[in-house]
Amino acid sequence: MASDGREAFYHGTDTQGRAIRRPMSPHLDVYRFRLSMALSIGNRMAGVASSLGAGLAVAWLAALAQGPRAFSRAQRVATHPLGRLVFLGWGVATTYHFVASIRHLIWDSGARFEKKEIDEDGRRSVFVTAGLCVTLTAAFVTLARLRSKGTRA
Amino acid sequence: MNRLSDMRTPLARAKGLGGLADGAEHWTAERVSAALLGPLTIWGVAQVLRLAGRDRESILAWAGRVQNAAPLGLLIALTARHAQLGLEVVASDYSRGWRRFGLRLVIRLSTLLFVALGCASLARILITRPKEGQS
Repeated sequence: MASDGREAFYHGTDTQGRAIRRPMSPHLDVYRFRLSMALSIGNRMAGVASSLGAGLAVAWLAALAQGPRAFSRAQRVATHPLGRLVFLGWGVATTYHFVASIRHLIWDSGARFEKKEIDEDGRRSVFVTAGLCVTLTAAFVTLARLRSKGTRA
Repeated sequence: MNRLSDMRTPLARAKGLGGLADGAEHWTAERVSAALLGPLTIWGVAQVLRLAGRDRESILAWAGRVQNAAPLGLLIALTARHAQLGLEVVASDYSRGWRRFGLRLVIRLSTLLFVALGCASLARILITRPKEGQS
């Protein structure tokens, strides 16, 4: 039996629910880094981040429905540099989750499972996500600036 | 959950072990909601660009129209469903026993709250602004 840090993970339960010491094969530290690893856990984290961002978006909608004072408070939070950073993060996370979900639906059909294809599509998904994020951010910032100038004039 | 499981027969307990204690339903529901969210998300992004930089009155006028409120309501409901399914998978992968039970409860309740808040807000906008439809 190993006497290194892996022991800390040797916790399991039997079918009766009793705690037993169950060895676990090394599954995290024996692999060389590959892009697909980062993309896979990234998709999961992006999904969680996207859900949290959706919660904030509904809170913003609630402030819109509540009245002018609540809405201006919500807009102060949303247009604060930190609020903008959170909005950008939500956008990036949702965009990546969207792109990765297309890959997942393709995998579910049984296609693009070869190692070479997975590497190709992985790199493509990074470029597509980056391109979409830059384009959408530029469009949002440009439109927001044009319109707020229009109301001031 | 082991204390609760003690009330069941060994076969029932064995059947309940594993991912989320069901068959492919959870997985299928996740894919179906994802596929439906695809076009709705594109619509949502287009609406965000449409409303970028607009004031409260124009956003309310937008939300007060049924052709916008209906897809927005659908987007909220499907987002809640898909988020619930996805977060449950994450929670069940990294937690066990009572912690898993508690996390799933929190996920279910917060996604329900998400839908309730979204629907109540949309309803309030639609009810309090009937003038927009006439003018």
